[in-house]
Amino acid sequence: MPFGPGGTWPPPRMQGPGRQRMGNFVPQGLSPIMTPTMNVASFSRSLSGAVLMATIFLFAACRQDPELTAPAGEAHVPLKLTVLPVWDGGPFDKNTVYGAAGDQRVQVTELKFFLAPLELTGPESAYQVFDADLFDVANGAVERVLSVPPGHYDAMHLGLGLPYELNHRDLATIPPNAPTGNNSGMYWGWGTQYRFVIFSGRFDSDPNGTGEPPYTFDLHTGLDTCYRTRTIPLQLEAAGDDTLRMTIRVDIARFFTDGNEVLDLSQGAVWHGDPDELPLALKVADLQVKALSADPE
Amino acid sequence: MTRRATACCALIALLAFGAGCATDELEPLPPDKALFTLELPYGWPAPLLREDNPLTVASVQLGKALFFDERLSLGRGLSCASCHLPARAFSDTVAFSIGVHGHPGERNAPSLANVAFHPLLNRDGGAPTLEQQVFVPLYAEEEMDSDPQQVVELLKEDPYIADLSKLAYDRPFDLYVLTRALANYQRTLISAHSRYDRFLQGDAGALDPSEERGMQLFFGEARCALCHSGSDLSDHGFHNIGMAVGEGADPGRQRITLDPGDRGKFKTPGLRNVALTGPYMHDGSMTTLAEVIEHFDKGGLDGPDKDPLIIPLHLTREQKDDLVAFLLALTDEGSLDQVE
Repeated sequence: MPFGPGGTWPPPRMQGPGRQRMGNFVPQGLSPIMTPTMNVASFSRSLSGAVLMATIFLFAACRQDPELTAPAGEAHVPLKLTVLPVWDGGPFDKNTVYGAAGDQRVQVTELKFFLAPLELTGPESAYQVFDADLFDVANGAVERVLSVPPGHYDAMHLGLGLPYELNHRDLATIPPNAPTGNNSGMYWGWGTQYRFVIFSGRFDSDPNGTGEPPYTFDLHTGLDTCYRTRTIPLQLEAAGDDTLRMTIRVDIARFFTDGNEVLDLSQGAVWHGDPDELPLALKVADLQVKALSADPE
Repeated sequence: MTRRATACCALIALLAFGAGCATDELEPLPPDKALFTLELPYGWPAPLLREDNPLTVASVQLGKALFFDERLSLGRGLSCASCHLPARAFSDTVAFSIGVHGHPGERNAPSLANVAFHPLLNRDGGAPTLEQQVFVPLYAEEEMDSDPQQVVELLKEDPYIADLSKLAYDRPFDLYVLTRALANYQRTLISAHSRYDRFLQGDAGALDPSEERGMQLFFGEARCALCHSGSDLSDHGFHNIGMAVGEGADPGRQRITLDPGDRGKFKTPGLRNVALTGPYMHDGSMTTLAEVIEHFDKGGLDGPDKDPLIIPLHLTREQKDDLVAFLLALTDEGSLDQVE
């Protein structure tokens, strides 16, 4: 069977010079079309010009989705967003051991997640409030002061985790203190991607147990397949100077059941990307996004 | 600018963005932006460079300084070179390198020779660029277990690093510079100057008869070149070659793609300097080239995910010896490091 470099046998012997000197410049994703005789420096500089021109053209050619274009020329209305952890609709405290679905005793000590994006949509306009933000709610509610264009909004569209284009960005190009920057504590070095949700604590499968639950759980969902989106109806009238208030509730009790599926930690309490345990991660992702609700509804 | 360069740029723009562009005459680059000259054998493909990281002399000098700097592990005794030893073609001598906490890693440290040609990095392909790959050992608990930003804070006050950073990238030392410089230094680690290369360039006496028979087997009956092809002797693809199977086995590429079809697949390693890069396989479980050839001669271990390319070969003792002889002829006759 003929095999060889380039798929042929025998390997071609070259009669020309034994070496070439190359300082060439071939952007990944583009064809390496420079020849060994090309002036390297001029190629590099001219390529920069070409990329700049092409980028300008690209931006000019690509318009925003008109449905996501805010009304122009009007002052934005202040919006205070609260992301509020609750347990079964009531207060949540990370030091409390709760009774969860499946006769489990649960103490949640870490809950940190990306919402990306957060968009408000209405009959006439839509607005992306942010493309990605990180919320660490283990210690209670987290607030953000934002703004939206005037208008009537009747739905919130959000993603839990990061969409592909954000999940695969080069970390070195992001300011360290940005939500997706190095200091987020969410980067998964081994996969050059992010954890979407860090959900950790202790549990006990004995509902009659007392004191601190004996076992730990550590569910770090991530990888593109765990990204979830959801559209939640709400009623929001943005007008005038008064600060709007909007709350995203995260009902942690519902992380353990949606009334149908139950997250039984005795059957799996750890996920850090192991493909053999992927069904556990998918169940967690499905339950978690369903546990989000919004006020005012 | 040459007319040819102008034409190439216009072609790139047209192909990539569907629009033409005009270019102006540009001033010569200042000396500190001088492009690094890679020496490659005639006929080799162009390495994969990135438009946001020009391969300049200053950038590779900075990258080399960082590569050997133990401050990347926050002063805990490990640099990149601790596990990618220059004398071993930038691989390690043990199955699993020992990290800052004294524990072994999970996979054998691969050679860095010719990584400039790899479309995906790491044995599982989890890093899409050399720049992003820098984060893998920095973050890995079983390797450096560093916070990259802390590394930056530690290094940015070093005048040598600060000056080179400014020179190479016109900015203070930061994560961007750290990753770009390290990537560029690794791009200069070219392995292309072995007796096999001399043979390809027309020196018929560069290989002895056993080595030449081994080469014919390699590209023919022994089926090695089905995966170990091209200048780098790697297709840079992912294959399950019939290593350990079952519960607890390394999922390989499946960990990145989550595709069950990628179970146990690992990137084909280049075989240049293979005499220096043992122990072999993703888990370093084979210590000699003879063991590796025995593995493939038997067709690997049976398993549902094994690549159908891996079949029993039934090679003779002499053929196996010839294959080993050829593999030994893939050792570079000089340093891989082109950076002074």
